[in-house]
Amino acid sequence: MARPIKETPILYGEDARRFEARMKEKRRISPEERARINESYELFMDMLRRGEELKRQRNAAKIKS
Amino acid sequence: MQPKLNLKDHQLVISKLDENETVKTFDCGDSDLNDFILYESPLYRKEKLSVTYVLKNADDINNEHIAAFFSLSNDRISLTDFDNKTKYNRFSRRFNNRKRLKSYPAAKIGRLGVDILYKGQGVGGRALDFVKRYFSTDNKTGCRFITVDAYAAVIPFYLHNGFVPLNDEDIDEPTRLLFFDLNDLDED
Repeated sequence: MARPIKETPILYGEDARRFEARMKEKRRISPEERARINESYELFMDMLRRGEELKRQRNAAKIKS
Repeated sequence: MQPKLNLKDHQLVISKLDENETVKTFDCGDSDLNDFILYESPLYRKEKLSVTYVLKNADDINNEHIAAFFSLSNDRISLTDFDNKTKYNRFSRRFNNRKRLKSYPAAKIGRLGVDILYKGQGVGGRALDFVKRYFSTDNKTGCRFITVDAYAAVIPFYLHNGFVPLNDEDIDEPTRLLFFDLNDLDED
């Protein structure tokens, strides 16, 4: 049996303060990283659209037969 | 020779596993991840705890040879100005409310695995990129963070992809909670 995924804990005290400070401090993403993220997204979305459409067609064919 | 996975190949598709779908074979070299995808992912889907996405060839109807998978579920990151859990619990019991708890919506990568045949080709990193934008621009509700409970061995991979440890409490544990702030993707 696969191990259970750990619950995300509540942050207290200094951890909470550090986390909020991090939220306000935006990390700068390089143009190359942004371009790669956008490209990956488009590639995966295309694959997901094709996959879901194929599944829809197969399910429709099953119902007909 | 290792087969090359070309993500631009139109024969590749991604599909969300239904509760009545199973994956027949998969080996990423980790028994825990293998167990999840081979035996447990349909149960998680049935109970609406997570959705598993599989990357495979379009003609692989019965999921005989999937190349990679990742599962996603809802999460949240909560914080309070109390110094520790004891003080917070005492307050919650006494006043029976959670007013002093702030929560931010998140999506959790429950599991991510790439078959050993396709490792080292950047598929895992591409999957992380996808998840980041999937929830920052395409999200149906609201989502500020991506979280993951990462194995110690793959923490460098997540750090390289912009994830940050949530705190230091699990620094010596077999897995560590990390997060990615989706606001980092916003244009200046």
